[in-house]
Amino acid sequence: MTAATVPSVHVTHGTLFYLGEADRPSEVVLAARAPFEDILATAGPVTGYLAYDPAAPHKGLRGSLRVPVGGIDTGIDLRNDHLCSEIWLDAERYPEVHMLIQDSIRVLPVRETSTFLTHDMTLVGSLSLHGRTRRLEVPARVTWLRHAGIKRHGGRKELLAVRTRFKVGLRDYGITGGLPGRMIIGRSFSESIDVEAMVFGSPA
Amino acid sequence: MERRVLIVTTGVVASAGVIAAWMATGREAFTKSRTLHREPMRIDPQDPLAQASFDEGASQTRLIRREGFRLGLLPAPQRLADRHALSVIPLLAAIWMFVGVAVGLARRCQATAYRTSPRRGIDRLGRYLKQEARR
Repeated sequence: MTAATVPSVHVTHGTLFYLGEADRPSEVVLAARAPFEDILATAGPVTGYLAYDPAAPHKGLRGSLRVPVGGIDTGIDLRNDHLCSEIWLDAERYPEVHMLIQDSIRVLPVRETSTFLTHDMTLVGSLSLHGRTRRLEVPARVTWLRHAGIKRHGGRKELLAVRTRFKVGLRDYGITGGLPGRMIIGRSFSESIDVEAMVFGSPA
Repeated sequence: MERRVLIVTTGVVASAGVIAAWMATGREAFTKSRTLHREPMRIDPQDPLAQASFDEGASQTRLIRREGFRLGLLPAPQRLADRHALSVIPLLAAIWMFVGVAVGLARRCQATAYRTSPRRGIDRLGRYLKQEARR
């Protein structure tokens, strides 16, 4: 992704931090209650960008993050196949999960120095999954580092780190997990999935 | 009798082996080749993100992926010939089905052998003589 494909409202918001440019891998962890054993899964690779202005951190964050449905790994190949099937996420028709961050509210400073800024904020935007888009408001901690610091963590680039945790209600996105009349969501499978994301971006 | 005891003992030993393999490989619900689980995270105080309080209030765990075959209670095969088809419940079912058939065959062989042996005639004569004596 280049600045040319980024909406102007995000370009003018601040520096663009691309997820692929960071020296640390972004990570999304999903957790759900399921029959026989609870599911713990990873989702990736996370791609996209975050727009942030270190000179005006109170403006918060904007951005766009994408995760391929086929990149969700539950640790069991058969379960991954089920997850991509029509009755679950239907990866063939809806191959991506897209999180769009349109605004940030309640931006509160945690720590600020000349080399880093850490703020807590609420990200406002939308989550598109399974062909449906729903409004999303999630708490996040955002840290900007003037440079990534010690050598073992990579070069001297700026780094933007975002950590968030939220729930995704499966019914809201039309995911039933079964044929009509035999839905397992809310019965043996939890109504929602816990999402824990830690994403890192650096300027191109 | 001895042959049946030997068959049942073999079944018990084989079942114990399957259960031991399940316990030794992590007592998973499903057979799998990799596992994902959370482990406590050691935060490096030299990490600039830790110094910036990025991790403060986080779950302090990280997701660990471990490769290696783990025998589960239930199978999770993608194809017919898949090692993930092996699991405790089908293996125990197969072992005890084999034991049942083997014990049945052993009993049948024993009965046939008795019917055709001179021993059967001697036993019948003995019973007859006892009945006559009672009269």
